[in-house]
Amino acid sequence: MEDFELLRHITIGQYLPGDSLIHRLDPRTKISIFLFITIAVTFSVSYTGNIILVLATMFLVLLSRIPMSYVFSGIKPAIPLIIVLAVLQLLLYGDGFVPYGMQSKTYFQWGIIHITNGSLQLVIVSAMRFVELLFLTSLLTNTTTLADITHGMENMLRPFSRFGVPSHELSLVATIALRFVPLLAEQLEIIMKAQASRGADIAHKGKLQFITTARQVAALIVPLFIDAFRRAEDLILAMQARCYVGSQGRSSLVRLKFARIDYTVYGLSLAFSVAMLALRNHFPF
Amino acid sequence: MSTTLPEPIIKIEGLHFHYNPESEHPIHALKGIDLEVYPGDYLVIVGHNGSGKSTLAKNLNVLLRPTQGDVQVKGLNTRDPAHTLTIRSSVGMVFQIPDNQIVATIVEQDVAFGPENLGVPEDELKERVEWALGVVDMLEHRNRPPHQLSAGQKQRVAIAGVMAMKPEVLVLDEATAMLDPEGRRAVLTAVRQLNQEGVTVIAITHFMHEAAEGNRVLVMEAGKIVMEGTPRQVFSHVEELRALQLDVPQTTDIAYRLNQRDATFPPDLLLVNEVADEIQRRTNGRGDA
Amino acid sequence: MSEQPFIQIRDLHHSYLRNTPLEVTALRGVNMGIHRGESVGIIGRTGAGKSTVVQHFNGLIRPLEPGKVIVDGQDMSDPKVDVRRIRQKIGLVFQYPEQQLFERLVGDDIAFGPKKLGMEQADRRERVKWAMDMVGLDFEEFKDRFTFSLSGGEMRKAALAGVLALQPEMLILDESTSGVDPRSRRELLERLLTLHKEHNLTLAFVSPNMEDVAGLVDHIYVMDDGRVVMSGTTREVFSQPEKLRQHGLGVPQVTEVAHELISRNIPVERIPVTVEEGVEEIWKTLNS
Repeated sequence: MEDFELLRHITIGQYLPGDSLIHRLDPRTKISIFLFITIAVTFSVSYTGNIILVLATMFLVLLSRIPMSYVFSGIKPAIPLIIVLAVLQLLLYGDGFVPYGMQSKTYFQWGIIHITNGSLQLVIVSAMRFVELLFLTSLLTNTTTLADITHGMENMLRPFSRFGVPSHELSLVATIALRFVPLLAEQLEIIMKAQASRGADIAHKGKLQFITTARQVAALIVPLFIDAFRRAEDLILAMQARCYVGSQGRSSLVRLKFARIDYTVYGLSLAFSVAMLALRNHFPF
Repeated sequence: MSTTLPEPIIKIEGLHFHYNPESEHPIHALKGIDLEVYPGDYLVIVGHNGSGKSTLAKNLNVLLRPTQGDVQVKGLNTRDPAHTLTIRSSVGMVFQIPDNQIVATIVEQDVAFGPENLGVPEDELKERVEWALGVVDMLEHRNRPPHQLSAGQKQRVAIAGVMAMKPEVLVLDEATAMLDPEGRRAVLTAVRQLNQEGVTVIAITHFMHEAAEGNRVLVMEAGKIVMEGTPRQVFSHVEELRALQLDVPQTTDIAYRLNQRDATFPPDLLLVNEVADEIQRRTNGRGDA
Repeated sequence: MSEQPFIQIRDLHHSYLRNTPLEVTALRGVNMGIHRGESVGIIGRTGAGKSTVVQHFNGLIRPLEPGKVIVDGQDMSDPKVDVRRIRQKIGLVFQYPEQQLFERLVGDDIAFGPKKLGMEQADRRERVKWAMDMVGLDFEEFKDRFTFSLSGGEMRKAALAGVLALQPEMLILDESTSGVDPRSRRELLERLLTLHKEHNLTLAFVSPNMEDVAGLVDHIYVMDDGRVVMSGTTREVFSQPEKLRQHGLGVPQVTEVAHELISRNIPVERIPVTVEEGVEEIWKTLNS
């Protein structure tokens, strides 16, 4: 059986409207929380540190009132891969890996397979860090419209424009890309259906679906690229007709303003991340 | 009281345009166009693909410049780069494919794109966006992402985005070709409204019954204007249009064919009601009162 | 026409993004029966579900319980159905040629279908030539041209040829003439009608415009909001302009004229579907 609509099922990054505290925060605050806590997660290798981080990020997701089931639904297709990687880590990584806060102890050894307390810790901590990042991503993308995310990023990059960072252009590029991704996905679906209608073997669900030949990929990519270029040509004309000349002299409908809650949340998350970084080697286990 | 014509808002003299003029096989797309468009006109341009209609449209807002001849908008020559922005903000253009004109991921932010480019200050921006969305009856959708809208709704957003620049002229380049009947109706209603409020409209279409909306019709063929007049005048030349392989509105076709059978039947009817009126007049007394 | 419909659809439902918060219902219990040799129109505004229905005809979408889709006697719910053979019999032409063409050279693209059918080189060449003749593309001139360097109209012909090269028993045109100028449209439709008459090709036209199918089809299905809301001959369907308007559709001007006359108590014997019929009817009325 074929599945042509797989592209429609991408739910990661989908904005869910709501009125929670998190929804009402300035996008810059949310981007900053994401960055600060991600850095803390990156350097956190202990059980304790990660338990704290899982609880903290879970708390934030609960605050945003995004259903947990929705957050986890996005990773369903990746679960087989995750399990395979975890098993490989458990079996093969133990040799020579020094676990945090304890002496290395081998539970089982056979040939290249070394199951140690270290590899076990690695698997568990990796799983926890994965969940933390999932929560953080969901926190940002499910509560903030793409438009707000790009406005937030443009605003945050603006001070760097004196160093040559084209913040407006980057933001426009991001906006246009986000705007056209669903359109190109639709187009790809039709291209696949058109080729299947003439006898091509496409989009098969089930065994070995990801093995496609370069020829098959080319047959899909070429028309898609041509479509993308045609759209780009049209868009250029439309933008010119609407007097686009670059960032010089542009005004903006959207003006981001920090509220008191933003300062509070911003400060708290910064403090939290700094604390987690500072204490990362001082946790008991 | 003498009636002097107002100044034309667009004046085209001896316009020639060549695609790839330097190459071995340049395409001579416009072969000497002379045209004057007056404020408040609703000019409809019809013709086949390849007749030059789109090329002509793009010469109006400096997307293309003449290879010979002159195009003047509000007295400003399109050849002078210093006038480009002024001209483009005076002659707004809406294109055929709704999706490929919308830049932003939220409707009202897309409508603001044009005036933002012009540096319009913030509070005026908000006003213009609201006004423009109101004119095309899309205010209630202001916070929605464009991909959730129908094609007709997207096209109206595109019109709003152009009107937010407050242009004096609105050019529609086959803007209804990709829409279903409902979408077309909604767009034509919005355009009619704008024209009634004083916006000069130049509509390029291959739908003959849309040509009836205008006060002037131009027929183009192979880079030249071959017929010009009111819709009624132009469409009554059924044989000539047939020879150009162009359609006439069915109503005019009916009137023409009836005229062939009975020379007293007027051949230059345009509207459904006119045809019905004429038939009623001739059957009066015989039908039920 | 044979007794058993070529395509039979019963109580068909469909929704996209099922079991997610973004679920959208596309079909709500559709019934249709298309006989061999028939020419049908499936008309409705955007979002009515027309494309979703026709994508069931060639198995791109499989029917959900309890709906049934039977194509040439085969039950499309059965996973063992040879979908390739169905797609040889039922050709589907999409809206834009750019969605269908992908090979570098025109000849290769049109040969794609026959190649997938396992035809030999020499037979393929014959078939491609036949298909190109059918659409009016000169074989020698176009077979080695770059696909994407063709004009819009030429690409449209190439895309159609690519489907005709399968020599299907039925051809579905999904809005394949939207945005096409009247002269090219007429040419295309004339060729298709020739095929219909000479080769008994079953035809289905999907469109939001009534005028596209007036005078071309034996039967019209009007769809709105995932359902078939009107079904009948062209004349029967055109007899209800108010209902059509409610569903976001219109009737050709000639039909409007007839209805206007009737509303003024001026008799019109038969509702006209084309200008020729309209003039005849009006002439009769004027001289009665």
